[in-house]
Amino acid sequence: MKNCDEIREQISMYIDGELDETQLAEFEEHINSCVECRNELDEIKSIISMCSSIEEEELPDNFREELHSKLLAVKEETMRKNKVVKLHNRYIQIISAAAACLLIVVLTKGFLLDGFSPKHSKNDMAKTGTAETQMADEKEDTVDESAGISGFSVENDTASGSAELEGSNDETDGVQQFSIMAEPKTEKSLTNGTGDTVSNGTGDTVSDGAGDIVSRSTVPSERKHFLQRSDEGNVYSNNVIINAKVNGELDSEIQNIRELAVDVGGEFSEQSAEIALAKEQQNAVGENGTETVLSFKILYNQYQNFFDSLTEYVGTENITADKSSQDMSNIIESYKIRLNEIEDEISRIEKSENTSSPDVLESLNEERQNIINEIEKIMLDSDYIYVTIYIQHE
Amino acid sequence: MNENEKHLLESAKKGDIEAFEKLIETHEKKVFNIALRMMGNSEDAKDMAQETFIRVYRSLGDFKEQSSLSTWIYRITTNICLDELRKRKNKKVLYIDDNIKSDDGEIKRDIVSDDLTPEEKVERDEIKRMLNSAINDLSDEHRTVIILRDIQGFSYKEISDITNCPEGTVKSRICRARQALKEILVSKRELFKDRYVKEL
Repeated sequence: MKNCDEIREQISMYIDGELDETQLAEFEEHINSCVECRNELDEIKSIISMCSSIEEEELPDNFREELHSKLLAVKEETMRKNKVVKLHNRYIQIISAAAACLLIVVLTKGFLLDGFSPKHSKNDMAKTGTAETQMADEKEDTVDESAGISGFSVENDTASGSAELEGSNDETDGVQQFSIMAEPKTEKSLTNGTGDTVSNGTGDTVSDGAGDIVSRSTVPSERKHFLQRSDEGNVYSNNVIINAKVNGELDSEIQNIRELAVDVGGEFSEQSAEIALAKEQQNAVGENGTETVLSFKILYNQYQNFFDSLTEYVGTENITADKSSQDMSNIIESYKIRLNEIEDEISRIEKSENTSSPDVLESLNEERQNIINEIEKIMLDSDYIYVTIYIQHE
Repeated sequence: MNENEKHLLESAKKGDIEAFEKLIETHEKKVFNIALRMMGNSEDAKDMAQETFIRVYRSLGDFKEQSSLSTWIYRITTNICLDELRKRKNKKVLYIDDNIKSDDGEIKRDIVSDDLTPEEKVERDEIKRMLNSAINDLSDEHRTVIILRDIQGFSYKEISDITNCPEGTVKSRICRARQALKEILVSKRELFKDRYVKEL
């Protein structure tokens, strides 16, 4: 005969039908003769039946919509990360392709020209290159004009970009200059109708062409540039700067504030830090004396929740916030103009059946896709608020 | 997993949100309800449930189909809730349903109405409320198994998969959790001056 303690250990399994035959017989024998254990069994049974009668509750009204937008944000972020990798590869591809073209052209031209004029100048090379690639316009423009008209080459700070803008005063520059000429379609696509290619007597060839495709693909400098622009419209980039004072131990205060943000979907991704960096010229989390900066992005409709809980956390008297909205429509507009240019060029190339330009066509298509992605990114970003918190420690 | 689900899973793994949403459709309510009992309020439950699905979406690539999709999802649900509860223990944030301790013992922060109506419905609601608050008072470990076994009705085997514990452990844990729940209810019942002894 088992004692009460052993039997009580088995009550749960008895109810769930988990006892084997021997155990079951012993259990029932005991229960029939022990009032206390029988009471215990009844109580546990009734608690279980109460639990099982708890009704399932329906999902909150906006559950699926909210989840959907959160999933979109996750997907967007993942895609952007992949894109960065892709762009890296593309960078390399363009450089290799340009190098290959260059080699062929230089060898061919060098060989031909050697035959007639062994002492040809680099300027001749440049001119020959221009003529060879049938540049549509030969009228003279300035560097600044060409940049202004195309509207996309501002802050072109990549190495390839600057190299192209240098005059052909030495052998190396001559070669680089020639490399641009080796990509006539790309260059024209960028300067279509603006006629900004110059080939004058001094050999100063100007182009914001091939290099631009590369520099435009790098997001950070782009954003810096675009974030300074503003016009009328209805797509906004939203920023909030919060100043908050805390009294507790700084590290744990920062951690707690960070958690408040994470609780309502705040995202401390590299992306948001990067953008915040561009916006505020501050580190995502960096210390500046007793001031710590915390940057993240949060879905527009979640911001108030975050702000409320932060206010509750630090106290109303210790918090101030400045909100600013920046119109992104003008930027989108310039992207769209550029998009049209590219699409015109694509269809022109396709009509001309120029078999020598599959690579150019591919890079145009890719650039087109990049611009579309960039526009989408701005649209998606308008669902977010970029928050920068200056945490002051007393 | 049927063909349709397999197809959805494949698409979802590639990032297709629509496919993902179809895939989780049948699990959403259960996840929300598990989270609701774990967290004790529907605002937190919503957050935890959404967090669960975001994590599921993010880590679908890691899902090797060794367990069923649902088991995997519920495991993530309980883990996320437990993580959050652990985090909060250190944070000492007061929530509406929390007990607050005063010098003369523990008192409920909830306002319990003094003028009782005799209607049975009110009594039932009161018992339900008491049960929910007793479940909230359980340790995280015990609450998890009570929710999975007695509220959601999962088998011992399923609970063992969800909690990643051997079945033997699950059995004894369920046993102890039920005893603990009973103890809490008994003490609460005394607090309510034996008003609901009959129902229990």
